[in-house]
Amino acid sequence: MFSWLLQRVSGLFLVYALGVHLWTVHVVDSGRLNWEVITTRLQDGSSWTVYYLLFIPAVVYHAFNGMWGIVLDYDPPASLRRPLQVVFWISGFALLLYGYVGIRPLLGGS
Amino acid sequence: MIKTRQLRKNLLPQLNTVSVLWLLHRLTGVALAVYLVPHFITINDSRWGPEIFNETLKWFQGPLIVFTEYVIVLVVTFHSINGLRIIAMDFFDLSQRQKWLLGLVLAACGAVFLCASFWFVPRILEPL
Repeated sequence: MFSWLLQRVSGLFLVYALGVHLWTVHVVDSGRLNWEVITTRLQDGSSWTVYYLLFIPAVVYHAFNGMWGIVLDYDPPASLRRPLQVVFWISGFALLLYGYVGIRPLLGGS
Repeated sequence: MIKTRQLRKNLLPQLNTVSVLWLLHRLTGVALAVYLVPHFITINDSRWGPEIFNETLKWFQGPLIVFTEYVIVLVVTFHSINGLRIIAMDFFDLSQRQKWLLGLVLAACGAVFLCASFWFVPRILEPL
């Protein structure tokens, strides 16, 4: 029930966050995406840091929870369900950390 | 041959707008989830500094890449708008207005697809 609700909450947030993301990358910075342009934009105040702090977990949760829903639709045996769930959680956390590590230099972190 | 017959017997009668949207939502969702990994790998090149990062970004030019980006925008658009429909159906009693809502989804997707096409297609064709 909680994951069902969180899938919808993260989905609503992603409609907004992906709108901003695709608009800035493809329209505002169209054809001039480089380190200079990106870091200047992302380090203009702290709003982009807050944005990515929420955007990355939202997208990773939504993706993994969505795929978990597909797994459940195939009704895996109980013995398989728990290990699969562990794999999903570990991979999700790994991708979240990897995402944070990757965006950090662009946000001005060393 | 048997497979085709089975498919026609079992699958085709179940096909309607809602089930097609359900399938498309699933397929686009999996595609976007898979796409996250290479996208994060690319962004992680920022860790090696401006030169290497800019080298990586230079690779993201050319008609084939812009075409891929165009497809991703269409996929995200569909998944977002259909996702909003799912949320609306879940939280409000809209069973009487299902048709109206489906029309709205198709119209909204069509409008954004059209805008995206006006933006991306000239950029895809430009270098050709």
